[in-house]
Amino acid sequence: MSVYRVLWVPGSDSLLGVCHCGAEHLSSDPVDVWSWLIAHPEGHGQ
Amino acid sequence: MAPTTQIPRNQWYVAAYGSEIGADLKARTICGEPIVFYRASSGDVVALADRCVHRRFPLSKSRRVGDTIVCGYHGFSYDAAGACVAVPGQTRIPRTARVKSYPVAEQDSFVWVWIGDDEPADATTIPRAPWLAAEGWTTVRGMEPLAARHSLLVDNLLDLSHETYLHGGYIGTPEVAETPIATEADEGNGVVRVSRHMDDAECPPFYAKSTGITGQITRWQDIEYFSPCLYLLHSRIAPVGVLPPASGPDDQAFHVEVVYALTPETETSTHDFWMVARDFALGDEEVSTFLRDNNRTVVLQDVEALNLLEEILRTDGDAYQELSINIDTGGLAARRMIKSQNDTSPAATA
Repeated sequence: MSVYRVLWVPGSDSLLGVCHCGAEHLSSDPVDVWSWLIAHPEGHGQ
Repeated sequence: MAPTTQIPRNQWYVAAYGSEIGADLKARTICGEPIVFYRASSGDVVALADRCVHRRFPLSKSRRVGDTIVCGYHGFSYDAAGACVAVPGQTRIPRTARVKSYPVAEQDSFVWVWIGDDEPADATTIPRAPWLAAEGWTTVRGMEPLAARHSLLVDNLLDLSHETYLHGGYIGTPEVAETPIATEADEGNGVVRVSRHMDDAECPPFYAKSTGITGQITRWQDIEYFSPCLYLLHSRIAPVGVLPPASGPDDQAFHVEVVYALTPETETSTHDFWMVARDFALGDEEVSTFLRDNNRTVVLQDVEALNLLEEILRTDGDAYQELSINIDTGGLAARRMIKSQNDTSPAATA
């Protein structure tokens, strides 16, 4: 099933989005991170 | 077609605590639907539309005769399945004389009601909160009416950084707002998880007075939000540096399960059920009173803030650009999950 993760990188203001497909995306904007995640597979290097 | 409601249908919602439903007729509006509840002679909870089919008189303002409700206006009588079994002055009962009967399930001290079509109601999908009715736990609870929409309470509970500012002196300390979170959206199970683990934090009065810990603490907050209704905050409190053992019970820590049931009453009001279950000081009335009073104060602080926000939404309208930062990651995930549930619910697809 589809599980998306967003980790707040310790010691920074960055968020790391981790898709269920394994692709990752670094951003400073949570709206951008979720938009990238749910766009799977677009832009996920599949 | 865009949804005309913000409330997902074809979902289970908490309608009441089981202890609230007895022989008397009880009215409660759930997701805009007025419902009358009572406990039948079998012990089962009955939930029927709270409007007589004749002239819409509320059945909750009527009277019970056995397991039948006799309308207080003209005497239309309904059995526990909602079928009309008697009308005044004639023997023929119109074929359409029945009120809607709602699927109901009792679990973990809650009465759940299915809002939507009858067919998909599967009680095995209802999320669990076993601490509320389990041996080895003591629970305090309450319910506050919230004059604000469901989504505002979801936003509030998914971002606990507000504890530092809105609930300082109760459950908030500086570390809550300062500590990074990890967020997970589990689409298949309809769950959003948000974790905040504080290694060395000030102990807020809520936990200091209930556990007796006086120094710094290791404080973990692990949220599971089963959209749209059930919210679990697994709170672990221990002296600083005390972590769960690799195996065996985590008996050097204090565990508090803070549970909310977020049930829309209408599009702009919500039933805010709250519970605090603990695995220490079991049955200790002094601790129970302290936690009940303190948590109710915290909930009322939220109620005051969210009621204010609802009023602002009403007067300002939608003409502003919202700004989200890292602390909102969980709230954004929950919003998306609710929208997804709403997009597939009958009100949206009809």
